[in-house]
Amino acid sequence: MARRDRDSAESILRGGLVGIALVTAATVGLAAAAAVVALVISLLY
Amino acid sequence: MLFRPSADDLRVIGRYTGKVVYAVGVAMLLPLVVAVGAGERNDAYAFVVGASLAITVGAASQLLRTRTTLDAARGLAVVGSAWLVAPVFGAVPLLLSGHYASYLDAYFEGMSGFATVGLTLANDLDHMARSVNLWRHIMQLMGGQGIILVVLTIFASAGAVIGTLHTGEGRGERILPNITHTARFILRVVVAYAGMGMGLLWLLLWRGGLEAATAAYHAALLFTTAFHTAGFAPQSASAAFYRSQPVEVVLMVLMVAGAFSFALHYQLWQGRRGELSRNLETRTLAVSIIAIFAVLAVGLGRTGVHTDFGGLFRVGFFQTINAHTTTGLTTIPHRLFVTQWGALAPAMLVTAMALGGMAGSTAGGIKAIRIGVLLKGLRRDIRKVLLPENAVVVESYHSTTRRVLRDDLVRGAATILLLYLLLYLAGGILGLFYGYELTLSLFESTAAGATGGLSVGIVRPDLEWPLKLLYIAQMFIGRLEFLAALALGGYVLSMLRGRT
Amino acid sequence: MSARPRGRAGGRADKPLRRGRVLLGTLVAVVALAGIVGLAEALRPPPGPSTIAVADERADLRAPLHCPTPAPPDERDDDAVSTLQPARPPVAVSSSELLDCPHSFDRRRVRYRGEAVGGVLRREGGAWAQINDDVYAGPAGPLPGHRSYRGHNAGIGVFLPDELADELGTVGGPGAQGDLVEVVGVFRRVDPGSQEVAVIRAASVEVLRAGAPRSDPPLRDRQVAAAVLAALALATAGTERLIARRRERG
Repeated sequence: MARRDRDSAESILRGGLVGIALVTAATVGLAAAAAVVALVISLLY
Repeated sequence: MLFRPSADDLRVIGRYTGKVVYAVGVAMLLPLVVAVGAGERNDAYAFVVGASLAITVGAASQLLRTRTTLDAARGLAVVGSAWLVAPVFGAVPLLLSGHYASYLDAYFEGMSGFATVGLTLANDLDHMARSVNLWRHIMQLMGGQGIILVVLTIFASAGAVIGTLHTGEGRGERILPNITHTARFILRVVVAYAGMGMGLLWLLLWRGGLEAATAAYHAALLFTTAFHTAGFAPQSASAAFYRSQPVEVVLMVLMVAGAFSFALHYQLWQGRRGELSRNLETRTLAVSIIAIFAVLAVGLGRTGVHTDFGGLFRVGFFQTINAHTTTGLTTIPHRLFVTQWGALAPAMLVTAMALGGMAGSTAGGIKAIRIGVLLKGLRRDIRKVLLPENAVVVESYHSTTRRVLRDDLVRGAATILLLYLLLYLAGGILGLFYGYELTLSLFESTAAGATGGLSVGIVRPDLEWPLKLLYIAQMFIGRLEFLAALALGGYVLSMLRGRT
Repeated sequence: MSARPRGRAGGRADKPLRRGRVLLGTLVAVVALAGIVGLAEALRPPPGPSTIAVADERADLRAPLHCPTPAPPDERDDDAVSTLQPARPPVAVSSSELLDCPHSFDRRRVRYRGEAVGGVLRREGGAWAQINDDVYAGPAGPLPGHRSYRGHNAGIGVFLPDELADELGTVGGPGAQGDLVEVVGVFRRVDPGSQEVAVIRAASVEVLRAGAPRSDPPLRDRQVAAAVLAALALATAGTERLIARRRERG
């Protein structure tokens, strides 16, 4: 039982870090694209 | 079976709906503890009343003896009745708090919570008891977790039964072999994001000037609203209250995480980052978000609201993400949508909400998979026209694996798209009867039907009650993607029709 | 859980429902619902003093907007020396006026009065505060003390320099009414420093009425109802568990 809890905690940690990192990267990527767009549009107005 | 309910069918539905009601009652014990701890006496009694009612009804329903078990079709009816019945009990402590003008208002709030919409009829939120505000957010959490579980299990298999009206994930699609595994994985993802999200938010809010305990409270509530793309907030000023761009960034990551399907989360947790770039839904969402943001920014620039990079990016991007993930937090007073933003920018918010997030997440709207499938279908038809007659045209898309674009998939997506558009439009037109301009009316209607939660101000306590009922219906139907609502409606109709 | 509907265990024992039973069931459900709603309405906090005349009337979305013409600004971003007209008295505004017509008041010196709520967010050089000027900040006070329902709180974010922020004592929130303050400062549609939208940069603040904690008297009806219902819930849940256990064994 303790072993399974430990594995589960480890898997949450590992998978979580990778998953969260990828989602954050996706958000940042979107933000970067949006920043470029915003820059262009701010130059127009 | 679906259209000739028997007594046993009703007992099964009653029993399982009763389980949900029981859970709602037990969930009220947490705000009860907070109320006692915070000295909110009358609210503590209110939660005892509410929890007792729910637990009584829930326990009584377990006495129903049934011969058969839950299957996909009956599961649909349970889902429909659960989302209708849960707010009945959820509304009780809200009404007793004194912050709601009527039971209808409290029921509206309950439905908005369980359906993770975010439209609110709360009065004087800034003075609301901590336990009551916590309860509003717990309802979002329950509703969000509930809909994910339901979509991944019952809808997926029900889709196989019903045929065309499924979510488009593919027949018998499950990310993990059975319901307990699915639920366990969902829990892991939530725990991981809760740890990261609440932790970061707590730090930022504490450094931003709130006391440690208050910051923790706000962090917890903000997490439930952002990750479940819901929309309630601890303060009336919503996310603007915190005056912090770092907080907005964390909220955006949580919102995007909340709009990602759990099937995608599963892939990402295995480290398969290729899925992000190959998946039809993520690609559709990315293009849609940037395109909508671009037009929105033009709209803001043209009206002179924000013409500098900082304003356009900070306000425009957050609102685009906010609307597209169908969350509903605001970083500016929503009155400004009407008085300042002109026509183009709010129209983009409506479009974003209408499109929504990924299927199999807490986001609402038409869903990216359907948009993607339809666009692919369009591409296939164009290719068929252009290529020689005897050419075989096969279009495929990527969703965890490579899949062939089948006709029934495109048709199912088109049907649901049409239904959502009709839903948004119907609500918009009904608003016209009460004197609201079409643009404002459509905005609010889409916010309800797409579970978006942004508001231009139509939803307020002295709103005409038929419109309140309308929005409640839209939130319910939109959350359950027509499937469960239609199944439940079919049941009721056939019962009234009598024996045949 | 299978994808196909399970076969019936009792053959044709499950006939479609008779209309009579459907009506009876519906009646029971309606009565139960009415009971819950009726009970909830009965246990609400008392109405309190009769509705106090309220100055806080939000703009109806259906009414046309009439904005005052923007006057020349009281402050420019680029002023080395203010060559504008001699200091004008600040114009008294409400939050709804500011949000209805931000352009009319942009960079104007304004006088704004309201209740500090939520918290004083200390930052470098000063602090942010949310100042609400709705009915709940006024004489009627916070809910649940009355039934003047005006929806969400209406207010404006105010940035106070350090010395001024120190003046704030109690902030409004659960169980407390905050200080009623009057700030004089420049309203910015978009604040150049922080990029915040529709905020006031305060130059002076005066606490008109100190805030105070508040509590509501315990509601006897509710206590009784809670006790009775809790007993009922425990009894029902207990009975259900006993019956379930007996079914499992038998």
